[in-house]
Amino acid sequence: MNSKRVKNIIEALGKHKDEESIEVLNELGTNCPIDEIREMTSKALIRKNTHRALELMIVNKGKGINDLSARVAMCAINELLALKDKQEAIKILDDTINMHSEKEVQDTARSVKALMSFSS
Amino acid sequence: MYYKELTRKARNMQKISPLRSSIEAFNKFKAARLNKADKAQKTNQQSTNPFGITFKGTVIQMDVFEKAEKINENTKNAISLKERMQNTGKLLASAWVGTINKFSSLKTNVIAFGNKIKDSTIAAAKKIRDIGNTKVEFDIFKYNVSRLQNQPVSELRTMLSNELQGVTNEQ
Repeated sequence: MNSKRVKNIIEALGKHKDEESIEVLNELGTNCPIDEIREMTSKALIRKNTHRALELMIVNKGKGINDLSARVAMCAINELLALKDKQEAIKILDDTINMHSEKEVQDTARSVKALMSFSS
Repeated sequence: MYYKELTRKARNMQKISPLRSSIEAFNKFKAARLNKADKAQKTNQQSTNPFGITFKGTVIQMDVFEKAEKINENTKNAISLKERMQNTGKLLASAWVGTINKFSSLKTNVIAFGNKIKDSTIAAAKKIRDIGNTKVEFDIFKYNVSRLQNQPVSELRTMLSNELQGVTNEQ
């Protein structure tokens, strides 16, 4: 694998204006068995700062902040904390805390929201 | 007694004869040399070669040599203008021939140099054409983020899936 190529493609998809790019990253990037690629995908999706991209990273179990790999999860949380405009992210976190069926996901969302409120 | 005298003289004659023959040979050589010198002098009479330079016995006749005898002021004026003009013309002609030779050699060199440049240029052009025929792709430009960003998502999807397939196969 040429990690530089993969990194560049994922980065390009992250910066792409087409909404379809989010689906491509979700399909290929977040489901990849390699932690490094999942990490890169999480970063790219969170940097997009759109409702669909943030929803994928906050609500879905096993992806983004709920990833089984602590490294990937921490990377996603760091990226959320680094966002300039956190409004959309906080809104999704609130919805997840209130409405999600999984308690584990709710807890994670609560922790991240707390961190975000401290950092802002 | 007389007989004895005769035999003694004969013995002396025998002793002398080798010396005499050698003197005769020397005289012949001397005559031949004188004859040869006369001949050379005759051929040299009209030439202006003051040093009598010879090449394999033949006197070299060079008109470019100056005259051997000193030219006095009186005799100097006596040399006709026509003769002077002739001498100058000869010198000029020889100089001109020398210059033509120089130019012709220079021309040959220039032509050779030009041909060499032409050949090397043709070879270089062939090489460039060969390089042009081979398709060279640089990853730096192909996988540049700003370039990829402008490509359609479907193409990026294919590229990413190809790269990730390679990863799965490696594992």
